[in-house]
Amino acid sequence: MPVTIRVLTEELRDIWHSWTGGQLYIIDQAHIFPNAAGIPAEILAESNEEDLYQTPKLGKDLWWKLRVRPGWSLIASAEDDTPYKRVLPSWAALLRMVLEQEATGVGEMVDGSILKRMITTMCTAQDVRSGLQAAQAVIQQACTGADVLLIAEHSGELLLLGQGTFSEKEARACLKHGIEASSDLKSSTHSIEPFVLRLDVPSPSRVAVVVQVCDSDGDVKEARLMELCRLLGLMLKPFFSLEVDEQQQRLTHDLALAAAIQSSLFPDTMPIIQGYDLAADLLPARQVGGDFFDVCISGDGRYVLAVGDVAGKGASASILTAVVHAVLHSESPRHKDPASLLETINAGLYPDLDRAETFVTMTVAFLNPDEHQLEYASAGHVDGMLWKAREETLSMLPATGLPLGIYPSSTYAASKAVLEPGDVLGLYTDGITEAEGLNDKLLGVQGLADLLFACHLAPARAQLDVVLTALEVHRRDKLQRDDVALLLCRCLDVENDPRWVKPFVVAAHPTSVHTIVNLVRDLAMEAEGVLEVECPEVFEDFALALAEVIANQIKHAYQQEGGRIQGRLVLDKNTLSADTFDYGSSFQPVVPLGDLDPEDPPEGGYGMQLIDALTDRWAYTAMPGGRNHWSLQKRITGVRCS
Amino acid sequence: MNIDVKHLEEGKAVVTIEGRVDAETAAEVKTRLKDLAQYRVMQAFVDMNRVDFIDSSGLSAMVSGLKALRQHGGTLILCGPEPQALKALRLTLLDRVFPIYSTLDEALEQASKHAR
Repeated sequence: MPVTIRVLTEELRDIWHSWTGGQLYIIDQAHIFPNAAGIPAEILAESNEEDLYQTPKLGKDLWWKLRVRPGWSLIASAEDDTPYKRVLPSWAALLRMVLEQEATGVGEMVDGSILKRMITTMCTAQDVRSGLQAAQAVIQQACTGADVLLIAEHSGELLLLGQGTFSEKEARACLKHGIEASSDLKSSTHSIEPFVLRLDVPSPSRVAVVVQVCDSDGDVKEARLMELCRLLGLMLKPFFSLEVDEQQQRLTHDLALAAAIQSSLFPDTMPIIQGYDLAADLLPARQVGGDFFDVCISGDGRYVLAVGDVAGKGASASILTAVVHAVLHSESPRHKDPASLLETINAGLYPDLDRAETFVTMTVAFLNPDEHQLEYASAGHVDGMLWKAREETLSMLPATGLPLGIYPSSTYAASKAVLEPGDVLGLYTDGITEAEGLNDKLLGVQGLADLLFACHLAPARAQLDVVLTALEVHRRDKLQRDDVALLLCRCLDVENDPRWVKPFVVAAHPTSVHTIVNLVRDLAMEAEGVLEVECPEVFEDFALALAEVIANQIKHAYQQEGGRIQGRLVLDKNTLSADTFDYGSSFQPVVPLGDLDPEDPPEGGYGMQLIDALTDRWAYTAMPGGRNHWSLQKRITGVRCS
Repeated sequence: MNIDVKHLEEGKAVVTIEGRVDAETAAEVKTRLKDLAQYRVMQAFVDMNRVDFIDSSGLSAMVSGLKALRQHGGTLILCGPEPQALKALRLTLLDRVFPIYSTLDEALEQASKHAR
């Protein structure tokens, strides 16, 4: 559906001002329909006069207010579950349409004279009720479907006439809230009796609210108007944020802008490097953070992969990430080795960091994709990880110098490594390894290493998603306390990489069994067109066998107490296999003998029997460090691996 | 998973299960089946036609139900299992333990024939 817009003219603002004497906005309400096609971000950038912020939530709708420029505003509603990212560009487009319409005079506009007539009608009527009826007639006559909210004062009666998508209940609640909050009025002799009238006007639902304010002798005094205005402001507050919250909102708004700017500093897509697969992500604990990742090009044409952490969190740290970003991008092209790059960056940043009494840790890795060479230097950053696929070992890339900002001149060493097919480089921040779980247990370097071990065959993005999900599982209900950045770079193994790899991580909870069954079914569907032989049964059999293993891990390894299960599902040339790991108690797998007394069948123990019967090979290993490893394999014929 | 119990005449009951019977849902199935013993149900017909997935915990629940009914001479009859369930029953040899019919109607018909 198209976006509907009605614009109220400046004329109404003048009428408004003459009635209230206060500084109120002219409001138009418009419905936003999510634009599935998406609206280019540059529209948002063009609309730089806007002042965008979210108003309090009302009912099931999200209300948005946009002050286009001083004097008038727009309000729009969107469904509660409309993603923020979608509403924002829709708003930008809407804004542009409004501005264009106003400029050209094209489009449906609500005539200011109609509104003027309405108000006049209402205020010359005998009483509020007949005033409303008269106003209703005017609206019906000019029925443009505009969403408007009118407020008028007549003979001591305050009148709100609104048409919009807000419900009667919301209007009533809003009204009560305003009156209760106005202690001045409460203590006065005025009797305040709110009631709500529902007008029978064609769609959409239109609501009129009437408040009667009378004092004992029925007189209306000059001073009363001011009180009314104040009451009005309170009543309207939930709908339109007035000056009261302006400062807070400005801060929130500024922070949102800062978050948008900060995320625009980091690459939103990773470069496509022949023979490599890269992915990176950043999750600040608050809106903005001090962790960062970056990719640029060095003076000798190598890719510079950087991950770092400005000490501290939130806005103060985020400002410095912008400085680091700028220096990194300006210095990288002038350097041919990571050590001298860090030395220069340190010298450049030292005065700022010293003044701010903070420091930065950062790893920079220079990648030569043609020669599969990696050269890195690390300014006090947490150890990088390099998974060596052939040796099946993990080597660490420790710091080669002090953090940036400790001394005016620091020296750094550079270290080299070779990337072979299947190897995975992982650069990250301590928000991952120091994520706190149950009993404040940290995920740890080993925890991250185990995750990479479990899913190293998968595409970088899939691995990264597993790590981020694992953090959620590990934290359980705890809040994310530190920023998280992660960059993964996998050297492709064109000859040996399996056709499909689905890494997974789940909480050790009974519902996870089904998650894993669905993962196998997803794989079956993806593989469907590529299998030469139809064999859906193989996947169903395998799903059951894997479900038995997962259920075993939940029930026996973790004794129903919860934990983390991670692994991968692989479909290759002629094998369907799964590897899954847990940290629970070890297990003594026993397959019951193929014999059963029909008169006295056991009430359990069928799981191992199914695992054994439904796979070609299975193995259980209690690994060092309290980790358990299950692996399942089933031969499958006719997989085309082109 | 949905489970529904309907008591018929002459100590018969039809238990209709829909969805998946796995580690998450087996406990409820087990409780509901064992409850049948309290009503002295002699023949419990479990309609499995709409069970799309069953694992070992689901099979164990069926066995527990059967054993509870057997205490007073009753039995548990599996009706209309899908290929996935049938295979699981076969591999665990439980197909030798439960009477299995391809449809609920067939199972009910057979039962009334025997009664005559």
